[in-house]
Amino acid sequence: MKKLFFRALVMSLFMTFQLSFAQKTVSGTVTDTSGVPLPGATVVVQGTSNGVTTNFDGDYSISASEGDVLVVSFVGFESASATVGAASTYDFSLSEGNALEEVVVTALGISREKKSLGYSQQTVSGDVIAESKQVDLNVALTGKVAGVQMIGGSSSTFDNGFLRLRGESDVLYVVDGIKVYAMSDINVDNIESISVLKGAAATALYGADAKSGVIVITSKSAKAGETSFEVNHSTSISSISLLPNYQNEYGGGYYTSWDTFSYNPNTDPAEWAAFNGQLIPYYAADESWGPKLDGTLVRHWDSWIPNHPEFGTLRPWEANPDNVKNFYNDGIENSTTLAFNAGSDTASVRGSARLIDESLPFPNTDRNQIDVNMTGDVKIGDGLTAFASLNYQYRKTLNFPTNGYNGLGANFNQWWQRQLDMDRLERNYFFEGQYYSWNRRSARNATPLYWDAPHFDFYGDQNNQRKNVMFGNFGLNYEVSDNISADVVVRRRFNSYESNGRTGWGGIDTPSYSESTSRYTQNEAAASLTYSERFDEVDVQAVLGYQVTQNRNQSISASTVGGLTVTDFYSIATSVDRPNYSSSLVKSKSQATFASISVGYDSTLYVDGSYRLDWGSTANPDENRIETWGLSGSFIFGELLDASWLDFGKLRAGYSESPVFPGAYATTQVYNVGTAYGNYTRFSVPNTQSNPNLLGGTRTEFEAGIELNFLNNRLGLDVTYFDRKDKDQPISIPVTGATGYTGLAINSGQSSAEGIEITLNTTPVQTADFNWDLSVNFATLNKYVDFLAEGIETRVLDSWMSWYGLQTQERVGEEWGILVGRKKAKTADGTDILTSSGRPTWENNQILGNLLPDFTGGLTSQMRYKNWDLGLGFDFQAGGKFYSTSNMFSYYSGLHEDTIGLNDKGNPKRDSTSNGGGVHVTGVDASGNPVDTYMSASFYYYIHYFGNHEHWLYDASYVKLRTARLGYNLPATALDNTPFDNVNISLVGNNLLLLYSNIPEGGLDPSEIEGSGSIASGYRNVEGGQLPPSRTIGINVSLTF
Amino acid sequence: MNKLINKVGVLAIVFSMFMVSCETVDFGDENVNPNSPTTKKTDALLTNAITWMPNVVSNVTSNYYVQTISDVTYTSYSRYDTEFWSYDSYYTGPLADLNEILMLNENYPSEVLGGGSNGNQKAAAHIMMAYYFLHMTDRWGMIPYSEALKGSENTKPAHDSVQSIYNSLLSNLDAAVSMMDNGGLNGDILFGGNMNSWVTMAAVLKMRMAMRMADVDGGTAQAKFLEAHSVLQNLTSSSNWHYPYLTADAFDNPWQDRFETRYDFVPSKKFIAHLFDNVDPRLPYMANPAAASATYVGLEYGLENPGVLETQVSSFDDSIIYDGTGQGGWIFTYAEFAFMMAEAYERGWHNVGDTQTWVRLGVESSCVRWGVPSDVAANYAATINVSSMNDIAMEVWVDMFLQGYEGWTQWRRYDFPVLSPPVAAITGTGVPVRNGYSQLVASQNKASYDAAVAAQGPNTQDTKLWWDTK
Repeated sequence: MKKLFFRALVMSLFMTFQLSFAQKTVSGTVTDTSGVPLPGATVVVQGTSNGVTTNFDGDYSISASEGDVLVVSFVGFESASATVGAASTYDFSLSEGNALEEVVVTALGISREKKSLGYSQQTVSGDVIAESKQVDLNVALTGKVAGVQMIGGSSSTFDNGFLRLRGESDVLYVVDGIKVYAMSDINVDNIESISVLKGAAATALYGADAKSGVIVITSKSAKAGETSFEVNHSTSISSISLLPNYQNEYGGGYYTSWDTFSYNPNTDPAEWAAFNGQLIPYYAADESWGPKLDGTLVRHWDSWIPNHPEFGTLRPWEANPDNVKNFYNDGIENSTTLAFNAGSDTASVRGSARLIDESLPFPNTDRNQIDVNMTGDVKIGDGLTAFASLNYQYRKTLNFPTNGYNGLGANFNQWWQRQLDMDRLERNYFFEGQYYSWNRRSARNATPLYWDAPHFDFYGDQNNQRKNVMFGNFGLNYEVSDNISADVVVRRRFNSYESNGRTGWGGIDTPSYSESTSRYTQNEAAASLTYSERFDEVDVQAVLGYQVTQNRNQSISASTVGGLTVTDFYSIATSVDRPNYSSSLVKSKSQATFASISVGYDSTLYVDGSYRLDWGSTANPDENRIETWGLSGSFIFGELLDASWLDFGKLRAGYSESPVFPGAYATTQVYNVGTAYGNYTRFSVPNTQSNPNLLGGTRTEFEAGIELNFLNNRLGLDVTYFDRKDKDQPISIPVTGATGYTGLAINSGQSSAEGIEITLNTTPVQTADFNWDLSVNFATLNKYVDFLAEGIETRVLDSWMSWYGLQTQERVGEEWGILVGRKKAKTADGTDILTSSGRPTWENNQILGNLLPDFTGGLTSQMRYKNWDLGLGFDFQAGGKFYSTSNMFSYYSGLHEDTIGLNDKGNPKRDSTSNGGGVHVTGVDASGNPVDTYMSASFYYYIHYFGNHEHWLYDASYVKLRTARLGYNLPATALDNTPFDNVNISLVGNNLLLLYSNIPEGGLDPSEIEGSGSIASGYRNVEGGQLPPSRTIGINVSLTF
Repeated sequence: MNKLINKVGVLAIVFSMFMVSCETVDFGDENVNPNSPTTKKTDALLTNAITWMPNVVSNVTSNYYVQTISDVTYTSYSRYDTEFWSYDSYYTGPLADLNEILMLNENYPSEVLGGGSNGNQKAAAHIMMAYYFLHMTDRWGMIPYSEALKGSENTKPAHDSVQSIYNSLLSNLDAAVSMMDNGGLNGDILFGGNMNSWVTMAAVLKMRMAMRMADVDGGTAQAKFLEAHSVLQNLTSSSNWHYPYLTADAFDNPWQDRFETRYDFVPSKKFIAHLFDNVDPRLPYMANPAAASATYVGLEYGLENPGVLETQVSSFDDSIIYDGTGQGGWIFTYAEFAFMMAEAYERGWHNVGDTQTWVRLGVESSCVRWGVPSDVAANYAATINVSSMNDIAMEVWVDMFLQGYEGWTQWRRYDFPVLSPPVAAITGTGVPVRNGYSQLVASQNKASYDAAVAAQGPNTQDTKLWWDTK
């Protein structure tokens, strides 16, 4: 079979390049009914592989013989045809297809008329995605789909953003039927269309994996009659777009006075005698409460490097306002896509390759990526079609910059000396084979106390990752009769990651090396029968299928312990102590049968039902079947009303139930194996007590919506309401540790979510020369915790660091995702309740906000004027909170500009209180007596702000101009004597402008929050040491032959 | 070809029908966890439970309570920034493992003989549990004990009184010793399976408890002291047990790790001054002179902002900062035994030797343990004159440098040397005499928490324990 397919594929390739017996060249123009040219329409000689597409002016030219039939088609328009006669010019005027007969992709790739759907579905065209030139699909989708909240990764890093769909982050991505492992496996340049299925009624056919929504992606494929070759190249530059508000008046140290060097004749070299009495900064301090930057001559950190030209020099103590900025470079990304398409009536093939070379605004970072995608199909017999696709990605990354509390962001914005000269640091941190840091312990001791020099993080320390991804399918489709077709398909995906990392020799930390490999495999085979038939006024469409799935996730990691034995050499074999080794294998199998039926009456009433049974290996063997079902209906009432102002009206509603399986191995009690003590193995009892009777939980969801079109379909409105309940989820409920466990695995809990999603599409202007499409979407979400377990009112979702224990919790009766921490105690009228010395008093265990936003949305605008087009993409969010560690410590350590300036006496705050300095603190004490005092600035910004959860929980609201694109299509006349059919040049900008945010202390972009520590998945409620955002501007050239 | 497809189609239908009728599908051993064993390896559980001891013997915080160490830069720790401490990890950590050993030896006696004889395994598990429970009840006071470690069977265990826990531990220790037999014990990284050492450990715990009970139940205390003494009387001056730290990073002394990339702790001014004033030969083995001045300078305890460079104050000795295999992790020492003997003599519990003799024996052993040459140690010990309980207390305070929790417990018994809380203390009203329960207890086990607070007093660090009546 494979051989046959291969032959067919090869043949089809040849066929597309075969010359037909052309008698003459015919040409013409394809326009819409109002005469506007339609570029990109397909003109095919019927029954042959001979076809062309129209250029930007709608012109085509094709070889044809008399008697041939030319068929012209264009998306969204009715096809037209003409028989070639004596004439050599054939113009076509296509009438707009009924937009409401738009066919969309639904679960399992089944195409359905959009109007018949009883649930919410939104399509995003691949062009729109590709235009932004974003590698990250989630970012490219931002603002384009109602109900999608994008939580950006740091835009200056290699991090991916992630999506929350109706508040849930475990969204499934399906490419041509294959459930891909990671969103980044998808080549955004190869997407034909994206169908976003948000509710469980829409996704029931996928079973439990899909309960939080599915992004169904259809890859590009060659169209019948198309022969083309495309080249698309873009080059872009990204640069840091936002930095914190630093002060530049005081340098490093813990106090403003100077220490002096005192020469010790017993231990110091004789020539150091001259240094006696020289002023030395507090090198070991990683805060900036030091002396005023007044140009005093002092011994900077590098003046102690032996043999260095700087050794022994005194330099002025002065400001370097751009020191942090100078650390960052411009990142450059080059992306080139090559693709060919060849299609005939009997076969089609598309191949594409994309090469990306990307560096970040950080030194010594690089990523190379190659994506190759092949897809084809061939008719190999009467009604029998074979199809296959293969997608490959190779991605090599050098140095993922580390976000978080131990990373560079924390260094610059939390623990830093403001006066440091970055160029000098870069020049001098490595000298004569030795690394030096500004944070040396003392004049005589070069060992760093807390921090290596910043460049050490990218050269001394390094990490590498190689990712290989392959996913593809092979299948057959057979048209048994006009009404019945059968499909069999096998799919496989394989992801492998090889990573290594090292802690460099010569830095503050013990040198180390680690490597890990992980492989994630999924195999799936499915067979299905599809039946569709029309009986007078009744439409029936039915699917019956069976599916087997196997998952195998394996990882191995090893790391050195206690250091390395060979200088400047990094390997596991040279570990000082016995290296750590760990491996994990998680496998599971499942089987499923599914059926769905959709019945339509008179194109006005549709009922749709899906039913699926899954058997999973991870469940209790005596009870391992779960049932997923969805029922929905739609009623197209617009035509019944016969109102001239209403072009289309539809009501829809659906209900679904989708259970899940417990995770692998959750039903058996095992022992954890710890690192061996010498030759002694260590076992421990796990902290969660297992439960052999653990079952999957259930989600039920009700959804209703209305779709309305007005003004000749130039205004379309889609409103959806959903109401969802999760019950009896397999969770670990917290119990007091005195039970011997921190949690018990049980089926419990209930949470409910509801929301409204609105999409408004308009075409405010539509003329021959100028067209403007505007699309706005908006969504709300409320999610409440109804019940956890008997006697359990609160469950901690995440607790971060130990700075007075800010937690993310779910609590019965409260909105899901509350942030619980401490705030300053205040009287009823808002006056601080202080101690007599002016310190705050605190109220613990307070609900201070919630991480879920009140509403999210986006706006996209597409304008086209003659050959020019301008696209703008905005997105916004209101509400939702996140915690800023960076700003908290920029106060604590005196880096922030708020920590300088004058107090209300007109004296510098940082002067001592005895000299009229300090911060004026007023309030009342516990018994209501006034407190009025001056507190030293360094103490004030510590005692009033450190662990002040209420203050540092920021509103994550924002409005952002995320993308802008200005494109120009070369006129056809300019291409007459060139091999090109189409040439487009565009300027593209990404992450352009943060138009609104509500961060009083500044310096952060709430639309991108790193996932700090263990909470990366799903919450992103804490910024522990965020790296700055970057803005990308590039140029894109696209050529079609 | 068509036939093939037809077949597939028919098969799909038939299979679907078949599957719909299935309640379950047999996936064989697909869900058997290949990563973690179910093997009943009790010796590995014992090893794991013992490797938790560094949390007790090499802890930092408890040393603040006796004010022998100070913070250089981040001083909130020495100013009692944390009043509420979770006891959960004791239960979910070593106690759950020890409890598992007992359960396995009870229910599967013939399957766990790889860990040694059932009697010895149970004995060692009971003694280790007593070690942890005693430490815990001396930190928090009332804790879940009789109803603890029962998983889903009891998710709201009661907090037992300190007295009842003491009584139960005393009888458990006796029972443990009587369970021992001539079989082996594996996984024992403390004593290599030497059951005599376990007998000694049981007696050490008993003697400690006896001393603590002295002021509340003198009769029982004396009886238990004498029982323990009958076992411990043959200890020698070198009978010291240090936790067996390895040089390997995973199991080396946390004190050494703490100084690898940071410099947070130095000896306090009070401690350095006391040693210096007494010309104590242990001073150079406990601390280094300040780098800048080459003199011994302790850092004032509990300051909010010391404003000094690390080079301007004395540091811990290199044996703690760079090695840690022989210091900073004492489980039990002869000096402690000798000081207990001295105090018991003061209390009239026995008539072996006298107070002065025992204290001198203790000081001499302590000096040698800290590295002082034996002749210097003997000479110094001979100069020690004891005239009161406070004199014993002072020697204990010095000897137990970095023996945080034991040192703190002794200080709470003696209330000497006189210590006052830092001016800028963040919590509490005095030097802590207890650790508060974590706030989680109040939410996860409320009724039991409320009962404990009602019985022993407010959940603060200022509430005294049952035995701490002075």
